[in-house]
Amino acid sequence: MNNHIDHDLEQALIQHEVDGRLHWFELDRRDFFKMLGCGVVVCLCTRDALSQESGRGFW
Amino acid sequence: MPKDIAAWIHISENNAVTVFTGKVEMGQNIRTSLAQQVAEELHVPVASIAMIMGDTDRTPWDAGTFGSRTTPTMGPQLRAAAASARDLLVATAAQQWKVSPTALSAADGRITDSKSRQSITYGQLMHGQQLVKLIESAPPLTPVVDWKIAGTPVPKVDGRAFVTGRHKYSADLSHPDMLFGKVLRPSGFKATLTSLDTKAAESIPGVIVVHDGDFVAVAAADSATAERALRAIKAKWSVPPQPSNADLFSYLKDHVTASRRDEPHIVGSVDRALSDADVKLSQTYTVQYIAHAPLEPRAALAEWQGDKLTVYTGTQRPFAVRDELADAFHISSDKVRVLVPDTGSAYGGKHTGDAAVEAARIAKAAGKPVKLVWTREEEFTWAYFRPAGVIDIRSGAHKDGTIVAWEFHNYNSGPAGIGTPYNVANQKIEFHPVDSPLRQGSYRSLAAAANHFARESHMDELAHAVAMDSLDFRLKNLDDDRLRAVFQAAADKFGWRNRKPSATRGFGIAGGFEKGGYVATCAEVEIVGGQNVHIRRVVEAFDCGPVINPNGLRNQIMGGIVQGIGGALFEAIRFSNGRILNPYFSEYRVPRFADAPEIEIILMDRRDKPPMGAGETPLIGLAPAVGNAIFSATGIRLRSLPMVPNGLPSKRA
Repeated sequence: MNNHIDHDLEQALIQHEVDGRLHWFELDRRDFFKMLGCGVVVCLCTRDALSQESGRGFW
Repeated sequence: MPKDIAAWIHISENNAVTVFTGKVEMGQNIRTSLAQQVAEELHVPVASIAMIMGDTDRTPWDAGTFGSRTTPTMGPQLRAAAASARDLLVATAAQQWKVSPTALSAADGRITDSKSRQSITYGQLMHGQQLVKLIESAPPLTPVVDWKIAGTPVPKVDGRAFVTGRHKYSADLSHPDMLFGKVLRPSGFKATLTSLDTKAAESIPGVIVVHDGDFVAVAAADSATAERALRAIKAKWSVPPQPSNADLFSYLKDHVTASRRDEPHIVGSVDRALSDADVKLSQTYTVQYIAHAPLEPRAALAEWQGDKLTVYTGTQRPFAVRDELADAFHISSDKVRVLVPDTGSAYGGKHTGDAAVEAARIAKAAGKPVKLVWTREEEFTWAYFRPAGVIDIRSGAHKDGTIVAWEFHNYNSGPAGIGTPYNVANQKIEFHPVDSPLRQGSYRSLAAAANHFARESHMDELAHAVAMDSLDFRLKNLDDDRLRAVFQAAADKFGWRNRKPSATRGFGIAGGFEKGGYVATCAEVEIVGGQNVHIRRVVEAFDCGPVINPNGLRNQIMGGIVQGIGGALFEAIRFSNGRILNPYFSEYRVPRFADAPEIEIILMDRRDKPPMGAGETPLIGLAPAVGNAIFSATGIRLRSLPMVPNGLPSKRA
């Protein structure tokens, strides 16, 4: 939401900051795997991939 | 902020106006003052407006209701939206009737063509459709001098519901399947759980015990059973050694966090100016931690429907609490809805969603909606506090009363209001952040109360040192016309020039500028029995630009003055080794009816200036004015807030 924050508001938020949080909860097993699932990146490699040569272009 | 009118205003077919804002009402009367401003620009009666406030699913995103920002930021936003909406309505009617928009007038929720005498309500014109148009860059705002609804004492919206007890605060809400939650609190701050036995609690029929790390809580069908279950839990905690009040101020000066330090404000050379000054002073002022003590404690009702969480809670920052909940439960913010019923005060103390997170955590485990209401002891212990602080001032002046040097160091309490409004050629002003031993956060006026106490007390000490009248000394060193005007207005009404101090009767003056508002406060105190300080009369002049609702503004100013009495005279959190020692109203002294002085308020109503907030600045002059009044009667200079927690000390400064 940073796009909403102008300089005055940013200063006001810094001044109104509250120290710390009362609670930090641990993830349960199901939540952990749900979260992990969001971050999984699928990578595929081909055997004979062509790479672009450097130094040869239109410019 | 959204630029579409429809995000802010909707007009139904029956001409009811709904206004949407992420701001919240917590006793400061913005539900009324914002509605007045919309009514003024939209040309509708105030009674036709319903304000939807602080609902994260329905209102535009908002950073929160704090810092006296609603009047200067949300007021103009809604005025612009309403004026643009009026323009759109007139243009739509003109198009429909095939006449020039200039031939039409908008009043009382309808458009009229004076020539043809055609007339149509806004609702009939729009058929309940959205007002599809962007807010104009230069909307046709009504000049302040022409205000007819804004600027008048419109009665508080829903006022009757509050005074008759009909209003439902978060703690009053219920749900058919709801359970009552209670949290097992550690035996001290920064504690870790070393052993836990919940068997006895779990054996109570209907009780659910929740254990997640150091978080232990219970839920039951009624609060008495939940309380019984909580008492049945056996837990041991390890609490690390921590500071106490006794060593607080030395602790603060010894624990400055260099990494968060701002550059000091330096003009000229204080040391050089001091070497030439006729009068030199060096003093230290201190401020204890105090609690917000809102009448409505933190409370929340949380309900999960699948992975969607809905929480009703009294907070100043519904969108921040929504994000806090999303973060705590590792879900996206759009899965969380926070709704804020009008709240029983906050004073800067309800920025966080502690109770909301706790209720939601218990509800998640219980599989049912859970309501959690903090006790007064929890409120005094597990909320956060107004920062304590140490302020060192060195100053110098010439015999004629010209201040030549000003050095000001604030340790921990904060940078708000730290700059001096007086003309001083040589200045060094610096805020030193500290790792606070107690959890701290914002409080009404932030550090402006502490900084004004120190500065305006010290100004009095300087005036005394150069043998000048306190008011004359200030005016001699002050160019700001608006600040001069409130000093003059307050002094005139108070009868400053005719005051007759005695050993039992003292008079003080103080003032300042903060959050766009200018304030001057005169106080008269009586010393009873040589020890007890009674504030008998306060006159305060306040300038926040044009007044939007004089009744609401007077209430804000009066509330600020009365709340300021507590921090000035007797409020202080006592703590030792991670524990709060006075977590009850019976032990933590807040202002009572008997403490309230006669209060006279002067509203400057500067219609040539933009409107500013009034929630905080009216509080900042009280403590120094009272301290200065005590000095004028007794010769005792009190430099620590609270000033007389145990009555007037006998030792002279």
